[in-house]
Amino acid sequence: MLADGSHFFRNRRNMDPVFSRLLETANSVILGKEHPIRLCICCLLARGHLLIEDVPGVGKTTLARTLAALLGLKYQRIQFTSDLLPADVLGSSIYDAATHSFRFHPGPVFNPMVLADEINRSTPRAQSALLEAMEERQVTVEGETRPLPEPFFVIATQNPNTQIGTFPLPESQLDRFLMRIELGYPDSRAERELLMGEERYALLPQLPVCLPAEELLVLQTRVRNVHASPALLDYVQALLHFSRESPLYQGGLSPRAGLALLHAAKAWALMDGRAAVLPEDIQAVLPSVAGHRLKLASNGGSMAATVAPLLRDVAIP
Amino acid sequence: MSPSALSPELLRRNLPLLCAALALVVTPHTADLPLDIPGFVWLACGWRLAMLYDKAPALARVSLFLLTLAGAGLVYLHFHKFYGREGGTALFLVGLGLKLLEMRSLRDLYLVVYLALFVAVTEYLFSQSIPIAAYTLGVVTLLMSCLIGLNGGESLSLVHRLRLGAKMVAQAIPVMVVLFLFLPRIAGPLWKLPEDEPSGKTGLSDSMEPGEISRLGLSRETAFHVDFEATLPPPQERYWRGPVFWQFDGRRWTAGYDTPLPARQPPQLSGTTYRYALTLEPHRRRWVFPLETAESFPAELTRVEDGFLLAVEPIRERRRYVLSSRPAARFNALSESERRRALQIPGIPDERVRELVNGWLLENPSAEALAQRALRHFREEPFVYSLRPPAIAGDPVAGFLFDTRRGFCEHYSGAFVYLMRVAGVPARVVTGYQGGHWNPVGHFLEVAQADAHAWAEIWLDGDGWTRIDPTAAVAPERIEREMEFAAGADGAVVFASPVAEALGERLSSLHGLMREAGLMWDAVDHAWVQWVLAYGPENQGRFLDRLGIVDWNRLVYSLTGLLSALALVSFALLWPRNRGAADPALRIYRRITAKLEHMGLTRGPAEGMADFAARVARTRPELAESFGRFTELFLAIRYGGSEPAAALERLKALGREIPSGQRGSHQHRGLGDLDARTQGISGAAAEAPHHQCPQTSGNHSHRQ
Repeated sequence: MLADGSHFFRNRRNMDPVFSRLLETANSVILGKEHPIRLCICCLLARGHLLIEDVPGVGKTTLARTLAALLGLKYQRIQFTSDLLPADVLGSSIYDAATHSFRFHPGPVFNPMVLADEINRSTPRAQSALLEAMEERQVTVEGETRPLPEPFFVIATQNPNTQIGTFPLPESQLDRFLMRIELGYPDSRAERELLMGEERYALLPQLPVCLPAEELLVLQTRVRNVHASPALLDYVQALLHFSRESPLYQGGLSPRAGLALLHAAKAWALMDGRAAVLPEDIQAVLPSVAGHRLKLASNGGSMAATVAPLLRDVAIP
Repeated sequence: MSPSALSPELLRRNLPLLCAALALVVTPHTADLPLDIPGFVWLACGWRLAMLYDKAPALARVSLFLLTLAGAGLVYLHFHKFYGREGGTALFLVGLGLKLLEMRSLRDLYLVVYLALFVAVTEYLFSQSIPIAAYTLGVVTLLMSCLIGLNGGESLSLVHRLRLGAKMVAQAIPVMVVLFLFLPRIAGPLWKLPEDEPSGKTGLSDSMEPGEISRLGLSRETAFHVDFEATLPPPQERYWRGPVFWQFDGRRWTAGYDTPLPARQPPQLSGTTYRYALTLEPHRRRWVFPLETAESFPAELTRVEDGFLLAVEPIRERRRYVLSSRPAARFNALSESERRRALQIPGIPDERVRELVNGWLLENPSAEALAQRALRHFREEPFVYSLRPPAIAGDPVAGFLFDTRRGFCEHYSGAFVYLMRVAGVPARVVTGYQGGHWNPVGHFLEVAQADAHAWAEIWLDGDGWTRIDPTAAVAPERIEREMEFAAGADGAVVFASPVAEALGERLSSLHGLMREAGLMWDAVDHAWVQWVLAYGPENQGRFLDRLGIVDWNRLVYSLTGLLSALALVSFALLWPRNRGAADPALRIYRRITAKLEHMGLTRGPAEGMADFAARVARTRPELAESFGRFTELFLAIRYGGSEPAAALERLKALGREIPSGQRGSHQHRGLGDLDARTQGISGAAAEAPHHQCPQTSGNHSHRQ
């Protein structure tokens, strides 16, 4: 199959029909956001969690609910507030008068898809309860360890840290999110359609399940089998090296970030219907994977500005 | 995007720094050129910046053309030519400003930077002082930072760019030192272009007229430095001999000959021998000023009959001569023609002068007594030493002697010689410098233009030419002490008394500090002149001798060796490790993309191969199929995992299908073609749906 390479590059143009249908449907609900939606699905395939950062009202919650509906996943939302307690996230044991014993009531985190809304409005204590669960995919409450469902996908939203009343997530916790994306305002065409069309929430119940959970799990294992050649790993390492050596950045990308980058790129390649990762895949996911893990030495700059030097100055070996 | 197009983003990141650098590059030229020439560049910088921020319109070709004419006209107006030191530099400056306004491509930006580097160097045509050297280094650092910005460093912050530029300049300094020391020095004036006109604005001139030396009188500019080997002559012996004047026309003293004759016979010398090195500032004359009287001097100098030294050609750069002198000299007999010249006076002397001289002749007719009598006259009559003497109506000598009685060395020496000649004593005027300022930090004597002086020599039978300084009779402080005076409002010079000086120094320690700093600076400057600027072929030869390098061949070998060692070390440090060229597929790919480069299609180093193929397909639809297939197979081999030999063969075969671009497209690859292609790229992006390469559309949609 590789001898004439036909699988490789041609298929890049013909996306796997499963994904194209998924994308099309999502795009019909959330208008003008093809690329962020594709990144969301990519993140999901790579078994990563997603952080959406933007100002209120650009459709963060709608996006999360649409994805849940399309995947047929049970979905629960946690509204993070400053008085949220870890037990509100994880669940707690409550005395049952009938059986004279404590019974564990699982918290919202025990759902396949969790929307952690405005995560940076709560105290670090509640934040870390969720973030631990995300990393370990299990919850330990009162000495008993309970596994979380598979698939398990957290979409957290946060307001830009410059807003009042926020507890910014520390770097170590940002690292738990595979990707961070920004939605941004819709373009004028999409906005007009939005203003003319019906209530977006009303569309949700009508959505078909495009990718059932079982299929999603199969695809997730297939992501791991996507081939990454030594030449590609050279490129990944060159990127990591650049981020660590360049005076542009305060600190480089961690090894975990390197793994995340590769994994996300594999998912991206799979969505393109390819069996191997190309440098373009790395470049496609790099802004959302590396954007929140890097800080410019000049302190500031948008996500795009942060990764621009990586995309522009690191030669593909 | 065409690699040569100027994106607004690139301009925004680079132009402010570039304009600032350009404005600074031309700033030192304000001292040497009319202000409107650097001003032209400043305006150009301002206009270009205003264009960047949309505050000013871009200039049309017509206005640029008119501006070019205006600039050239400006240069012509000032200098009447476009070459020479001033004219050429001015033309360069104007060109720099115009090029800045005319920039259209990245290449133009580079050109502006290189032009600016050249303009920075032209400043050395005018001044080679330490501040200018340091300033140039700073400006070069700025320009290096601009180049860094143009070469992909634009995402670096300004501070980073500057720091990196400074680092690169610092790294270049060792190379600079090596080249400076070992590269064969050019004999002759490296920094001096053929002189535009000999403006005698510094130094002595070849005639003496009341007012000539007074112009020099207040200039603290250095005439020369002297390093004495051992002892320093006492102040009253510090006469530095220059041109001698015989001929008087009633107002002007001139030498009376066109070319000075070489000395027929050296004088007999006696007294302490002073050995010293004289570092002469350029004064555009051939005179060298030895301490009276020169005994030994370099072969390149000639001793003339009048006792001073003459270089082969006008001194246009700092020169250093090792000389020795002895204070007492005895000259040979006076020839008849010389005696006639030494007694020449124009016309008949004024009544009052004749009366005065006749009175002296009656008292004592011997030459020596007459001289003493004249000095006594200056001392006893109310003569005043003044740098701003009043204008004299009528006969200048008589007017000075009897009416104004205010003047300085020129007046006194001229009047004295005149009186001697009237009395029948052969006499002549000698100009040069007198005194000097001892720098205790650098241990050298600094002689300034303010030390320019004129004195007299009379011929005494038996003793020969004897120095008489009539100024000393009026203002002995001028001669015996280091001059430290301030001219009063009326120009009368008040000499600081030792007491007042000591008091003043103690009272104002600030003044002392400043004096100290001034001396320190003079010392540093002197060292700079001696070790850096005077490093010519001669000094280099001596330096190389000390290193054991005698002949040029060996020098060339060692220089080549040294430079190649440097190059090897830097290559070893900078060579990218494990270049992927070991991969045969990558080698084939590079070969094929080199073909595309001939057609103007270059893959950026960070551009993915599939993206590049898509771009090729958009720009050159005829290549879409062949290069697309080639890229596919290449990607499969390089990123797909396995690498069977058959696949490589097939890759080569596919590569051969791609035309090498020499055919057809080659003949019309002018600039217009390039423009058309650039437009073609953006056009293709805009109307992608209509475009006849459906293969790329899928690729297109998800990468926005």
